Amino acid sequence: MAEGRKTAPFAFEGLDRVFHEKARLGILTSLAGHPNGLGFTELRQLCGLTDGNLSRHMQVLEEAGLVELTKGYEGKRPHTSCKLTEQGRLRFTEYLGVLEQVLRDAAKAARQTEKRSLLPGAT
Amino acid sequence: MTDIESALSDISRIRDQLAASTRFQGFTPAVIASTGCLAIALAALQTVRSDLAQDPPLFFVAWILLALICACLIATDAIARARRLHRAMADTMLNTTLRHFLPVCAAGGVMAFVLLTRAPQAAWVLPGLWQILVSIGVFAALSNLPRRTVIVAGWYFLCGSVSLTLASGNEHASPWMMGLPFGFGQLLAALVFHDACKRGAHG
Repeated sequence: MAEGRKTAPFAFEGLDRVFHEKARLGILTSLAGHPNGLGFTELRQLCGLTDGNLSRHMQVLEEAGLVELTKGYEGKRPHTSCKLTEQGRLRFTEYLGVLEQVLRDAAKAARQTEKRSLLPGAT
Repeated sequence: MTDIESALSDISRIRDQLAASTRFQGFTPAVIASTGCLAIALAALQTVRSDLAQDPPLFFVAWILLALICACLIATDAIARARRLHRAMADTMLNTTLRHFLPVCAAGGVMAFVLLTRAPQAAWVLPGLWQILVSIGVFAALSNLPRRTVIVAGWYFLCGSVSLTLASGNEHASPWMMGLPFGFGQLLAALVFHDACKRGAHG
């Protein structure tokens, strides 16, 4: 990976497409601080998604082994609970690391551009 | 704060949230159990060689040295194991765990230094205080450890209270006042971690 970064520093291959989607990023961030998981309704409200949208994204995440869904009952009402798997936690952390690198590279590039524009003779 | 700085700070917050709610898997049951066996062995040695237990500074220095050896064993193993199991999260997990235990270790060290150098006649309180400090450290780290670790924290707290009550006023601390609580406490912790490893989801 380090070798890859040397030859193609801006390839950012660690930006996994499963994570790199606005709604799924919201779902994973909501689940990150809840080790015991969140209810489907709570998650839908936190992410501002419709039932259909949330189900679709949860299916993608579940198939990738990043979240697990538990269906049960809360009283007499059906209740679905969603939580990050161990694999999901690890891969999400790795994804955050790459995202952080993207931002640091962007900040560095912005600083260099700023410096160049301040040089005498720069247009 | 620029947009980039704000985004970096958001990432750091999410990573901290992940670490705070992730179980630390860096403790190897066999290593933890071996530290318990070492504690029982030292207590047995101090019982057989009573001259080693009669001199309070010598008695406590032996236990402090053993604590340092055990801390090195556990730390070395935890760093390697956490890097393997927690991968990108390893450093954050190690820092979180260290933040729970480091203040307790520092407090134990300062207490030992002050009591042994300034008031050796009151050194009998050290076993009980050390056990209560360990229990506080384990209680503080519970959110990152298997649920059943609460039993270990309870054991150390109970032993600390009993040690302080039994040893009050005695000039010499009994080797078993250190050997039993730390020996069985570490074996109990090893059992809890082993059970958590078997369950795969940290109990």
